[in-house]
Amino acid sequence: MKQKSSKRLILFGCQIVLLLAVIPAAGQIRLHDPASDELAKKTRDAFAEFSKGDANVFETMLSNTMSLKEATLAQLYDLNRQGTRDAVNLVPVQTWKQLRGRVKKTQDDFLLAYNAARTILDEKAAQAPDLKAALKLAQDELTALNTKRTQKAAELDAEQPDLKKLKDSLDKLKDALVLSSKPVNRLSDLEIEFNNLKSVWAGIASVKEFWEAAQKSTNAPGLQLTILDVAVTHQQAKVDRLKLDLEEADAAQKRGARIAQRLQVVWFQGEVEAGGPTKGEAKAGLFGQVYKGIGSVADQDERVLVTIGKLAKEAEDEVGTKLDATMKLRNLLDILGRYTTLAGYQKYLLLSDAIEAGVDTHLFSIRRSAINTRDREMLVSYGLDGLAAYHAGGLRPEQIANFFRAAQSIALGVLAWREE
Amino acid sequence: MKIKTLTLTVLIALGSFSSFGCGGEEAARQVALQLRASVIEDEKLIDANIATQTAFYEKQRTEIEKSRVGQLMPQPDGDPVLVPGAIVFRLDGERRLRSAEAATAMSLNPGQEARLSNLMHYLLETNDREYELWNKLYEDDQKAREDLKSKIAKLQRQKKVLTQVKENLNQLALAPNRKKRARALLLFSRETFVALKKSGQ
Repeated sequence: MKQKSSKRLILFGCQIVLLLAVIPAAGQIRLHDPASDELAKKTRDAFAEFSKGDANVFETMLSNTMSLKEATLAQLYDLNRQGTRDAVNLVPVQTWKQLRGRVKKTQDDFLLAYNAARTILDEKAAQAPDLKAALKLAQDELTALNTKRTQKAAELDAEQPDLKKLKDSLDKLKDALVLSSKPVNRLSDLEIEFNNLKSVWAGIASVKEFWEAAQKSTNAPGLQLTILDVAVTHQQAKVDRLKLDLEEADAAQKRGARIAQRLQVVWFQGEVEAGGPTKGEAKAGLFGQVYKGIGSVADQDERVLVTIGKLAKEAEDEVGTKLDATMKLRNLLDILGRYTTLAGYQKYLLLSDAIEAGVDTHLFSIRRSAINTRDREMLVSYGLDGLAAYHAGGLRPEQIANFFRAAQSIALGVLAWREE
Repeated sequence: MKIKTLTLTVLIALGSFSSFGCGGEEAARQVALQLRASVIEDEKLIDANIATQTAFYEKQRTEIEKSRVGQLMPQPDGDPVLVPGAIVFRLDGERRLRSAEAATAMSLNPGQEARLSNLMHYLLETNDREYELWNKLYEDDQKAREDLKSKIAKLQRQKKVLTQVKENLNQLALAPNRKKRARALLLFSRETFVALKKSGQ
């Protein structure tokens, strides 16, 4: 009897132990998966690192390009400054006649710099034989850039609303899916949202193939959503590329306008003297003003510094009297200053614009590569991993969709590490 | 008796399992929904931030451009007139001021001031000061644009992470009976979201 009750006690004890073990086990994360957990952590940490700063390969390339541009421009500016110093060294000791010849040479150099800038941008670009032709080329270029910008803006305007419609319809469907308390076996179970999605997607030609593919998997809502996601991502990349095209066209148009304005500032419409000793000299703009100022000096064979000294002496006594010498002195100094800036920074700006344009081509090309890479990575991560899952067999559609998601996480994680 | 006791134990155990499992699933779903709502809010904030930064940049650029190159002002009787922008006025004003200062200095003391080095110094400084002013007025458009693009690229990367988290949370609704996957996704989403928030601080 005692033995029997002892056995019962042991049995009862075992049952108690079993019950006690069941409750905490149910409270824990019962289905722990170390591999997924490790992957999730790695991906998360990669994202955290990735989001910390601009530790991104494309951003680094862009930053390097900008540094290279700054270094190139600094070098160009130094060279230009050396040329300016040389010009300035000569100014005081030259006669006004000699100076006029130097101004004409600077004008020719300016045209040369403009043509050089065009060649930097396009080696096959037409060369301007004279000032007027240069201005016309610059203005024609500006007109072409304006047209290109308008065209790009129109292309973007046409694509952008479609992307918004695709995104909105998909988001609404997902929201409904998440908030639905009933199990959803097919997306068409969510009648309103699915019909809305259907009407939007069927009407947009650029996602036709995706929509058809999604329709073939009506019994696999996860797979359908994945396909629609891929389509949106792809369309987003398309819009991003158009935005970039527009920005590039906009930057080129602004630069073109700046170059055309600069030419106008220095020689206005490009009209030149037709004959005589002043043949080829610009009639207007900064060059025209300099020629005019030099021409106002009575003795063209006098050295510049001598004239300046004489006028300064005369101006010394012009207190409370007419200011003839004072004004002449001020005007001549003003003219000499204008000439120096033409030989100096104005010419530099013409070349720096060309370098900036070349850099822009490179910068936009990097940004375009970044978009293309993002687009490809996304498609590859969805496509190849999904395919692998399919061929592995034994997976249900929901699991395939989940696998796609996991693959996407992995791709993003890998991307984050690589970009670090 | 032994059989009766065992049956009872198994029934209690199964009951505990099932009741705790369902409660856990529902709790997980609720947490996921809350987290998803936070993620959507954050996505909206990032979108708003991108829009604000872009709009600010565009507005600044338009204003600067207007002041630089001037604008066409309509005239009541006749064609519009191009009013020169700040850059034309300021460069011209600066030139005139500098030449007047130099003329004054030279005329005050011609014997000392109207000399070779002074004239050269005046010319070089005119070039440098004008270039400096031009730089100030024009600034670096390209740099400003690239800075903005970098900021936006960073925001977009953050948004991409949030989208990923949201998509994972969506999976909970798609396959609520996949406990293992659901838990992994929820854990991943929650921790990624926290990591992202921390990194953005």
